[in-house]
Amino acid sequence: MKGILLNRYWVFLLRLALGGVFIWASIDKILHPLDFAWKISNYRVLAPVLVNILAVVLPWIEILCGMALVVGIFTDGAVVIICLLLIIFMAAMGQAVFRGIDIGCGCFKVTTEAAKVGWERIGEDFLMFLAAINILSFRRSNWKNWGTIK
Amino acid sequence: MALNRYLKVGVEIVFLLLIALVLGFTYNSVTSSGLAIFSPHPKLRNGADVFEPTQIDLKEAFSLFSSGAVFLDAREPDEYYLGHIYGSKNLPYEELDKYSSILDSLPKDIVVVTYCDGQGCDLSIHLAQELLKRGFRKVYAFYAGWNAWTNVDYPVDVGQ
Repeated sequence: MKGILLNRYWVFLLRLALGGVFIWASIDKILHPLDFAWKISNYRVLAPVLVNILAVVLPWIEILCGMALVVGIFTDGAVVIICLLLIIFMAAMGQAVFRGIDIGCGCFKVTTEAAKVGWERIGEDFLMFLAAINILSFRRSNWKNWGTIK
Repeated sequence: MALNRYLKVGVEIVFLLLIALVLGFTYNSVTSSGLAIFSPHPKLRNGADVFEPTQIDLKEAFSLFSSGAVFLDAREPDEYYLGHIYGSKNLPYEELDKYSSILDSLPKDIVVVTYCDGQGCDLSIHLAQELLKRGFRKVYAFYAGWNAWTNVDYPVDVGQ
């Protein structure tokens, strides 16, 4: 099992998949900042100014980290950021489910077709989180070969 | 040395976040769909503050009714009690302050339809304007209101 998870080709595939998902997820949010801001606002967690700032900056964090993973530059930093983002997303949706707030997720689409917050979304995020941890573990295990691993 | 590797990761993280910050705000200031950062509710940077509600007719009102829009009755409570559109909430425009907690409980991007008696009552328009000012986005004023609705025997209710 460990052999597969730490196989460089498997990790390469994970990088492409995870990076691709994040790039894909960011596009609709960049194109429709107002709708995305409303989606964040619906979670009822952040102050208005923070909602607006997050709506402006988060999609770019996603697309940059996604591209970093796909291309293979700043990979360590990108993976760590993605891990943190996913934890935050899961927490945000968890509290929404807990408080009984029925809202659109804002994960991929930010218009009316947006998927609803629920355990499925949290599950998806958790799978992505596992993928990110996998990539991170592989990278860390190769730090011994600092000179030969980019 | 292990410290250098963690430092490297830290630098990458800061770098990525900084570039995202710069790109995000730059893009926001040049695109026409950019946001007004310091607005108390999500708003476009160059969105004309349009507080003119969209007026709808009976057919459109019923269509929104069928898709679960929230209907707000702008009339006085005793008029509401005698009869109101099925499922609608009472939000007397003349007593807005007393009823503002109802407004606060509604998410601001749901579809809201305001109505009053109809001809001779523009409380539906006033209430709709008030909603727009408070940040509701999808507000429709059903001007023909109660009279038009009951005229064709659409669903109504009585009491609280």
